[in-house]
Amino acid sequence: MRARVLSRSLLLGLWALGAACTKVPFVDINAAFTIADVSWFDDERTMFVFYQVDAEQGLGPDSLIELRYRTDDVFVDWTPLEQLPAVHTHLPADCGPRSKCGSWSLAVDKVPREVALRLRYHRSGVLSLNADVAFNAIGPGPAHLVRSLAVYGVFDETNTRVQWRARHQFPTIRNEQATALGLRRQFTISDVGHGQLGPIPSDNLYGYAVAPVCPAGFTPLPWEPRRTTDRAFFEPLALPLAASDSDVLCAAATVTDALGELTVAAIARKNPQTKPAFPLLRSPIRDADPVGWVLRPCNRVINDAHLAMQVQRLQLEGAPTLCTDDFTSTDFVTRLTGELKARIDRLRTPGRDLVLVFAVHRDDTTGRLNRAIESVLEQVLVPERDKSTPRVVGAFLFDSLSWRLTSPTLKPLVLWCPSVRVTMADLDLVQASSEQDCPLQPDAPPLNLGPFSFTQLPILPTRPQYENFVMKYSDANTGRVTKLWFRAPERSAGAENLLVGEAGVVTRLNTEVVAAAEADAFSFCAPADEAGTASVGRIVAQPINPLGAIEPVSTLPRRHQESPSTLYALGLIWESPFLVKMEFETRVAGAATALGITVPFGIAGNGERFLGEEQWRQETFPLADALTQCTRWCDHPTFDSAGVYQPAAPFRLAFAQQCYRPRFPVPTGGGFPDDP
Amino acid sequence: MIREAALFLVVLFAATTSWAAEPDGGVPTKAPAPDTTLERYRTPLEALTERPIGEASRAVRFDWRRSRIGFGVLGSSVVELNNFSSARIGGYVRKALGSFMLEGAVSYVHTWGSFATQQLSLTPYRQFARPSRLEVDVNLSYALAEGVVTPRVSFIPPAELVFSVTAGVRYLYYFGSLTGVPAIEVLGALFNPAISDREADNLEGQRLPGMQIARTRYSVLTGFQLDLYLRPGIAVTPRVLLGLPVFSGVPGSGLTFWWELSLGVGAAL
Repeated sequence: MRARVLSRSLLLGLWALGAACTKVPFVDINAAFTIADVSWFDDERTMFVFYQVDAEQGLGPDSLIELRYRTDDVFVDWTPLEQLPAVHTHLPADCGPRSKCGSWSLAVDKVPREVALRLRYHRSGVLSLNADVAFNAIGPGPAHLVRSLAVYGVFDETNTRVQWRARHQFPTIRNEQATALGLRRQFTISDVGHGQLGPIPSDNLYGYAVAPVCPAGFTPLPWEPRRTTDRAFFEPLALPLAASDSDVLCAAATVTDALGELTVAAIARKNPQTKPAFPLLRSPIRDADPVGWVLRPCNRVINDAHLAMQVQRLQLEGAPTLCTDDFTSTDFVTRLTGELKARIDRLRTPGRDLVLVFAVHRDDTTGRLNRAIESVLEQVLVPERDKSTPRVVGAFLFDSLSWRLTSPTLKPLVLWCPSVRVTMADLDLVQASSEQDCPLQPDAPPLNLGPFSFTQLPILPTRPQYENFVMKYSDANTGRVTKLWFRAPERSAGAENLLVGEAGVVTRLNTEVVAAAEADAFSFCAPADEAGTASVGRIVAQPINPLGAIEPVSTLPRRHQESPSTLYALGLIWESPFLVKMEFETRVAGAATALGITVPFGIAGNGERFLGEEQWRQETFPLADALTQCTRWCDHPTFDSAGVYQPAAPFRLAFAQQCYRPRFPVPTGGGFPDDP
Repeated sequence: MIREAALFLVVLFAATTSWAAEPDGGVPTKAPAPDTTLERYRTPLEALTERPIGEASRAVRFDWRRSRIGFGVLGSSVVELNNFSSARIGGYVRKALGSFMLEGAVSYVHTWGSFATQQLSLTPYRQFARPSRLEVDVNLSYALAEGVVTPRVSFIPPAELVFSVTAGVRYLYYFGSLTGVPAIEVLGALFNPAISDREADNLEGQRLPGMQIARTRYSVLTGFQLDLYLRPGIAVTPRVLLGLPVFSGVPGSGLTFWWELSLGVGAAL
């Protein structure tokens, strides 16, 4: 045993001793070219070299990049790039400690062949790593397509300060990448003038070299020629007022190459001139006075407790009663209409709208009574609908039984509760997902826990619901309304209502119109927040010259693009003319059933509910951020929200259904703007 | 004297017991097979007697266990088994805890290359090593053997010699490695066993040609040391340590086993 332990320890010791005497091995730095791009431009007789080598541990300053190429005239064997005469400026590029990168340019008269690039690990060593070179030879052609540098101008937000920019154009290297690899190009701007320019060829996105020289009709500006090796500079002087309506600046842009200099015209197009199409719609919301009645049979009793509940719910204590015993008679409608109108005229107060409130205590299931009530309401409400404040905005009815309005005219004027869709008498059987015109379903679905069951009576129940509930959970748990409050939009004398669909109404509040020229363009931007989206979603637009259909304001940009109109009327769409706010004490009713005995109990709480049109909780409907109108230079390119100039995306096409949140260049932004 | 008398009595008693066991008449009988069951538990008498003598003779010249604190300077040669060379110089503080000795040390390590590394830098290959740095050590030693030794030359006084096994942890700090590193990462750099990419980038300028930086921040070492205590408290400590590849799982750790030979000179108060 001891010998075995000893021998194992000895073996372990020998292994450790052997391992402890093992030399540290050499490791490969795994260098590899990630960029080895060479481009030759025939019109410039210049060859550009871009390279980047990455390695695990980094490459020292003694590492070299060497080039070899052959043309019909010359053969240049492996030569360090720095030893070849450069055509342009190349700054040392910093690609991090594990990389070596940079660029070079050299004069090459004829198209090169056998272009090769390699990394020599050390200037004193002989080991090297060859690159797979991506070589491009760009032949002769239009300057904006075949030259390695294009010049263009952009404007700041005020359209008065111009920034002239140069842009590298290489087949495999992006503009900012060329800058990062150390390439700096000199360009000069001179002879700047302003004026109008005709259409620019669609393949010339930046308008570079759109003409050899600027058109003769341009008004010259007294600006000094400026030269830079940055990629951009701001002209220090602002445009004069005389240039306000000029859509373009044109300048002589001079760039250098192996042959010398090239001067062509470069242009700066003004940014699209935009403004909010309409700031906001404002509809003052005022408290409306309720005018209440109790409609019930006077010669018999249906259910006093239920009637008391209805009266309490609608706060109609002391309200006059309208007897419905003779609802089948021919003059029932006439009599009721007369009584209503007489009282309305007595109560009409300047500046305050009225809402008719009815407790309908009935047991008629034929619908004749309700249809008679609808006839009365039509005669009262329809004439009031288009009046200016003070007026009767609508009616709110709390019925004994569910009922759905049959008169289409009344649908946008009357809130009749409870809805017909809640038909099940026993609330325990009402599904939580039941659809209702009035939100009458229990706040929580019934919950059964063994012998206990819990539910809650809606604040506006049907009589069967009420009676079943009381039988099981007692009258004490039915809850009570503590405050009933009506609000309605103040209606101006010039307001106009337009019916939309079955129950919708569009109101043009106060002659809100958007004037637009045929050449104008719009941009719609949906608000980011839910409330904003709902608010803007209530705004509609209707072309009125020529007259067109009412559509959501979000479609206005597309519609104006397809069939322009000079005027658009704005309005608000709504389905209920008023908002009801109910504050109430509610009780979660429980019942414990054991041995055939049911004991009800309740848990009190407070609640609040809005019925009707919730949009009347706000007075203003902002539109400024959602709908932008371009009134000039709408076909010019512009900037996106990242501050990148998008020459292929003019406002009219690109931003009809996109948010227009441009970030324009600023004079303090430096000489290397975002321009990928 | 008392010890010698006791030893004599023990030997005499054993001999008497053996004689008394002879059978009467002296007629030889067939000897039974020897019982070796207890053999492995037997200890020679000499060992039993020498052990208490050794215990009693401890700390005749200098009782290092009673020293309140020790300090000194140390120098080392780090043998990383690569083509780079490293030397350490620093100071230490010690405190005896029974038979243990707790030590803290701070050292500067200078690393330099060689002709071989110069040649290596001309190639696409590198060798793992560590640039110049600061090291903080915490070591714990346990005395395995000790005793009084008598020098061969007379002008050196008799000394106390302690042979110990040692283990410790070492933290490596590279100058400039945390430049520009956010404060929260600096805190993390104290506990992260690996050097981050950001730190490695900062060290790129200090990297010797041909060097691939070993990414470990901590080292675990073990080995043996001798402490030679001369009265009134001078301590000379040669030590050999073996660096263990405990953190070799760290990506880019590079080094496995390596050696360190050091010599410390100081005082124990």
